[in-house]
Amino acid sequence: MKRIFKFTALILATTIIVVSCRPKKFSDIGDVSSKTKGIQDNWILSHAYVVDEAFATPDKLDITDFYKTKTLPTLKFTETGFTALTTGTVKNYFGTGTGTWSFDNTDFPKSLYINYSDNSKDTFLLGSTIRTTDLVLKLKKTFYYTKGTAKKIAYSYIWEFTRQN
Amino acid sequence: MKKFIILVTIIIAAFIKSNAQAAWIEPGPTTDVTSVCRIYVDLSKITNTSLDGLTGPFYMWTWNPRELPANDPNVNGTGTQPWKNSNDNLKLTPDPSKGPKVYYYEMIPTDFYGVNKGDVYSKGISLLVKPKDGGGYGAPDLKSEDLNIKVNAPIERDTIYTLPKCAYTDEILTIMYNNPVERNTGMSNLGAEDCYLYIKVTLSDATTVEKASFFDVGTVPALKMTKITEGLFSGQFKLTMIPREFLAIPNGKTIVSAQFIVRRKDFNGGPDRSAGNNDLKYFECK
Repeated sequence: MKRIFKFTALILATTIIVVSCRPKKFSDIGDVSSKTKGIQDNWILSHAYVVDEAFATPDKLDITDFYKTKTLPTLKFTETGFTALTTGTVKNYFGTGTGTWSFDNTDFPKSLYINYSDNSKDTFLLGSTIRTTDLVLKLKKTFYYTKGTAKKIAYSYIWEFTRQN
Repeated sequence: MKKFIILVTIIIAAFIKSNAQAAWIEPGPTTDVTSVCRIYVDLSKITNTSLDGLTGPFYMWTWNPRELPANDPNVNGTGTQPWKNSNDNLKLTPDPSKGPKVYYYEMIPTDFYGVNKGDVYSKGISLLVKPKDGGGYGAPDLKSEDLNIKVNAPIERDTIYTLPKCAYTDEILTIMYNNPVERNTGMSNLGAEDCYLYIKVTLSDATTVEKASFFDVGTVPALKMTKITEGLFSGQFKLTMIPREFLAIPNGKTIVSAQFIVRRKDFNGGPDRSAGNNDLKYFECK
């Protein structure tokens, strides 16, 4: 009887070990998280940087303190609409402040296109992915100047907006 | 054993020396890679012997700072076997004035590679030299070893500088004071509460504007610079503004040049101010 008990215990222990060591099956990761839904929210500026593209090693300087001396800009994205509240901010970089928006690629966007209400257009690079779970929207805009006939890169701004719930 | 070690050391040193001289960029030792440069190769200094006896023409094959794609006019090679058909655009030119086996390729690196200059300085330029048909596909390769050229950036910033360098009257501008490299020892290790900026600008109508006279600067809180305590600019001071607003510049006028001097809050003579007058003449990016 004692031997049967020992044998059963051994079988049981072996089974538990083997089962617990079996790799888990990968579950379906589901659909690609929607970026077009991810951006639809209200956003407020949390950090701002200037990048001196004209230097050999472009250096990024934090200028958030300067932005905080006045009202912080906010952005609002609806399904297709765009609104920027820039009154009282240090400077407006969002045209007329109203218009429509789109991505260059709805699943894996790299650029954000804004068509303002006066039909002018703007392009911002996305600094990171913008799923519904992402709390920060990073936008980058680069400025150029002309020297002779050559177009030269000058500087960029990077703005980080925090999702407002 | 001692003789053997010395011999090996000499051989290694000779190898490093010869390899270092096989390829270089001019002008040097610092190079503005947004202007015309020459990439030089001295085939008498390369270590790979597969080009021995060949008289050219020779071609550059390059992949750093960026390997150009198949549709680029300066792609390394064309056709189904690019290694056997170097691009005629990459043909090297002999320069007998520098040596019987010295060749060069002239380019503006940022334009040629389609990169910004930071990429050229950080990655350098990598290339090898080959005849139009580089062999291979079962035959021995005909090529130099990989040649890596380090490209040094010019020192572009003064003790006081603007960030961005490309400054506009109506854009956000930060005046930076690099206190750690200050030449005036009286200003060394400036305290966080002791750094003030004198700023005088000359406008497009030749009039000048200053926020406060040099001697009053220490009493104007708006001219106090903020010390940066962490990151890339640690130890430096900054003052961010939009010049038109900060200096009350009338509409229709723009800044042509600016003079910056940094001083202590209490000024008692030469040791209490930054060295030089720091005239900046590149407002409006001209």
